[in-house]
Amino acid sequence: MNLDSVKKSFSEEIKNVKDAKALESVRVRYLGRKDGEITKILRSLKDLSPEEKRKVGPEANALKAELELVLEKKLKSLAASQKSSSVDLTLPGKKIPFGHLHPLTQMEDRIKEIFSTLNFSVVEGPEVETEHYNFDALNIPANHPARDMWDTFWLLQNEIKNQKFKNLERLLLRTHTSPMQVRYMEKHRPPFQIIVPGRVFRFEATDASHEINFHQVEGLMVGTDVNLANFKYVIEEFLQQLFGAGTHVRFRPSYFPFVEPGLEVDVQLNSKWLEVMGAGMVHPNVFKAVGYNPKEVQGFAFGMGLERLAMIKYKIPDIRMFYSGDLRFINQF
Amino acid sequence: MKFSYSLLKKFASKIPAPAKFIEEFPLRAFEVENVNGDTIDIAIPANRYSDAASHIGIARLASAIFGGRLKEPASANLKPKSSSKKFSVKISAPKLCSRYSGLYAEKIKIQPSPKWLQEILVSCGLRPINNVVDIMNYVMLEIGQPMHAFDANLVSGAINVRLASDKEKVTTIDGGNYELSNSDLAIADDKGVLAIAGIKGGKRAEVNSQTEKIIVEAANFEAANIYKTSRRINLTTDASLRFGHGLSSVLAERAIKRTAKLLQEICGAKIGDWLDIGQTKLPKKVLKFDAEKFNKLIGLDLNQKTCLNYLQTLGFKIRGKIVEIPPERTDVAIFEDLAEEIVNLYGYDKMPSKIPHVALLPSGYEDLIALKDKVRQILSGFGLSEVYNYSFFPGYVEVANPIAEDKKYLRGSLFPQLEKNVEDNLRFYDGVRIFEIGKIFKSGVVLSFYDREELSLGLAIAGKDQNSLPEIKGIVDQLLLGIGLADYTIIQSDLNKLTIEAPDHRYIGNFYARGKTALAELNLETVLDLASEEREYQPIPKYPSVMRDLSVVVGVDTRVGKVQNIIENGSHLLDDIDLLDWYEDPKKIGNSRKSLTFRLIFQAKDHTLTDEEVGKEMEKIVAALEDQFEVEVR
Repeated sequence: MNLDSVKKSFSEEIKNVKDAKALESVRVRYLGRKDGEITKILRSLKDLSPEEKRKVGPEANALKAELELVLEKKLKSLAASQKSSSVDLTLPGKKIPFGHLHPLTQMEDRIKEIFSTLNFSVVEGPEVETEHYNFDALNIPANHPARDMWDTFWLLQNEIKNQKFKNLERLLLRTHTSPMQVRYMEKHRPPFQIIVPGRVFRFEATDASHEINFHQVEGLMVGTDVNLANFKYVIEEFLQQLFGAGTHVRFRPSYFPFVEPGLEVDVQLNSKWLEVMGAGMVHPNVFKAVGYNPKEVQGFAFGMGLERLAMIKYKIPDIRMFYSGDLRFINQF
Repeated sequence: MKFSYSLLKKFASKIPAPAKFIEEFPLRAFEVENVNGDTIDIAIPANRYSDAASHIGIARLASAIFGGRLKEPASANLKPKSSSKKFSVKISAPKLCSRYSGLYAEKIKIQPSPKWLQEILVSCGLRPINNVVDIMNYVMLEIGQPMHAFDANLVSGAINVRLASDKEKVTTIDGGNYELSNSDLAIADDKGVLAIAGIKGGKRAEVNSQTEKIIVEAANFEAANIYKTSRRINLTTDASLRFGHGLSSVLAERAIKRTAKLLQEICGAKIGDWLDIGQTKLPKKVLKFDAEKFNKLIGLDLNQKTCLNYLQTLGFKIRGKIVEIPPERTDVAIFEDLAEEIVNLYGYDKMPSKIPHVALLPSGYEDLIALKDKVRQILSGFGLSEVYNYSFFPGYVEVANPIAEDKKYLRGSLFPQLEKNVEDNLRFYDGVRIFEIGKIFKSGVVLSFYDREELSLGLAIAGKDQNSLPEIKGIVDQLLLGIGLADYTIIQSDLNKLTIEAPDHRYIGNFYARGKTALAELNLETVLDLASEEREYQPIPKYPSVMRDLSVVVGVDTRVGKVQNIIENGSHLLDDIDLLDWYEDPKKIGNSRKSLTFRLIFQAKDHTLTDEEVGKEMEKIVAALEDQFEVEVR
């Protein structure tokens, strides 16, 4: 037989092989050490002229390699088809019940994680606050339109005695997480850096971007020489970890009574600038209110809305969805 | 606040085109909300009404940012008189009115004002009325000082700035009727109230088509008082907004001089006496500026001269290290305020980001936050999804100013909202398994501030056709084990309620079953108190355990918990017990009976238990059961 006819008859025979035993006999017939067809051809090379040798030799070796490969594949597929007869591997995966954490929890976790890597601690504070902590200690005067920036829910018949000032204080639902700046500083000495996630309340009509309760994350870093350029570093680092490396971040002037200078932070997403944070250097009056000497310490504070960040990140169109309790929404995250 | 671009351009010639202005002004000064034709809407911060709620103020900032000289509008050269034959003014409430300027003008012909002036008013959202009223409004837009003009013929006697008497009535120029209180400030004459000070003029001495002589008012009122009155009578005007934020009294004098000029130019008026009483001289405010201190606060490296130059372009006067604050800058009081002015003009884009150098102190999560995270991990692992509900739901703590009738209280439990969530979701799912972590609010005797609210964990499980209570009990048990709380008891406290108690009888939480929905609520603060992370190795049993099943038939009213309790206490060799199966079947076991099958695991620490030993233990258990119930062992 010449090489072509060997190849042809091998192909025919291999097609009809049904089990490993038949496969082995095919192998012996073609590649067997004694009488294999290919073996015979290779052995006969020595009788050929040098010219013929150069032509037939490599062709015979290539065919040998090809046949070995085909035999190997056939062996594997035989083994596989034998197993599949007892277990159907194509059965679909079982649906394992899996709980989904609320998207706001996931956003909060991510924020906590990033700030943890920057050595910030995480603390929380009460949702019911006094006028002192929510406004007065934060340099937000009574009867000033500045206070209108925070529309407030007041509690009924729930005045408590303020230990420090010995007068009755009105209770309210905190309008921001900033009161924890005051509470934390009253109990700790700098240097420190903290974030404060928590629920806050605003007396305002609800719509797609306003809710009567929502969540903020407050930040505070105080030391002897913590400066505004440090703030820029920390916040750029945070926002780039949150929204992706290379995210453009912009800082611009703003006004909040408890910081000076005050600023706002925007990120650029899909070529649009979106406001995500209010911030600034802690106002000396706030340091005075907690008993620090403003000549000895300085630092920055910032606050951001959790819902807003989640809406931007997950492209959620309506803030009210967060409070719907609708699993068709929650289970997407 | 609306501004006219063309008027700003008149004062600040280098102000860029609106498209560029809206882009760049916010990066150095205030947010620009919108541009529409000649109208530019700028957000004035609450502390900047005195210097910046005016075209001259915005132009001053724009000149500092974009360069060019500020061109101030022309004023009449006037000197105040100490008295006048034509009119007189007095301040009876000096704490609430620091300055009152009155200007007399006559030979006025009331006409429409010129077109250019009308256009600027319209750009700023004001309606042109007549030349006198329009000049008053225009000067307010230019200088930031609210103005008012009275028809001098309709004023009887002296103008008196006084507190209103209780229930004193006034009709405003727009026909509104208001009743004042004795804490509201009024501008009055012999006949009564002429105007609600700082808010709105009255009808009685209104400038009208017959007016020939006027008294112009430019005054300064105490901010908080105007703010309170404006809120109380629910009337907000351009004037009340400006006075409510606090203005410098220097604006009054600038406005009077400018008004005189315009009255001459536009109305051909003859300007009479100017009476200026109250605080007419303002004390100079100065601050020391030190670039080193600035660089420490901001993290920049600017020299003294550069810093002072920025302040100078904003109208601050510089003498050596001393900075004199312009009188209209009521917002600048401390060093940090100066620092803000400089860094704003310098630009945050040019400020470097600097890595903080601080002591490496340990950081971490508060215990309660760590616990919440762990609870979330465990429960989501059990297949429960997390919901958030409103803090408002009928409860015990009442809100003084509720936003809606159904949001009058703060929730006292997480149950009702979770039940509602279950119901809503069952429309789309065969089973619902959810949890929520949130604050609930308690009233009653408040021991300390923090006792008012507590951190609660609520769980709810419902299937379409099964009793979910065993599942939720199992989940809570595993959850508590997972967070290190193994020692608790469950007692039935109500027909469909179980209470979870600590060994010291402290309340941990409760289970509640309603229909096919099973709920659980736990006080996470108590759980945190009781939980222990400590674990200690127990030797792995060396000898095999022995398993026996025990089937008993008891009365249908017999509580499984009690039966299990007796079995558990019936043998000291009993290591574990599980309820394998239970059923009621009148045909097999008779009416009002139920069958319970328990699997018992016996284990001894020091030897392999023999059949005989285990048999004895089983007998002891059965005897204990028979002692308590009418049981039939099968």
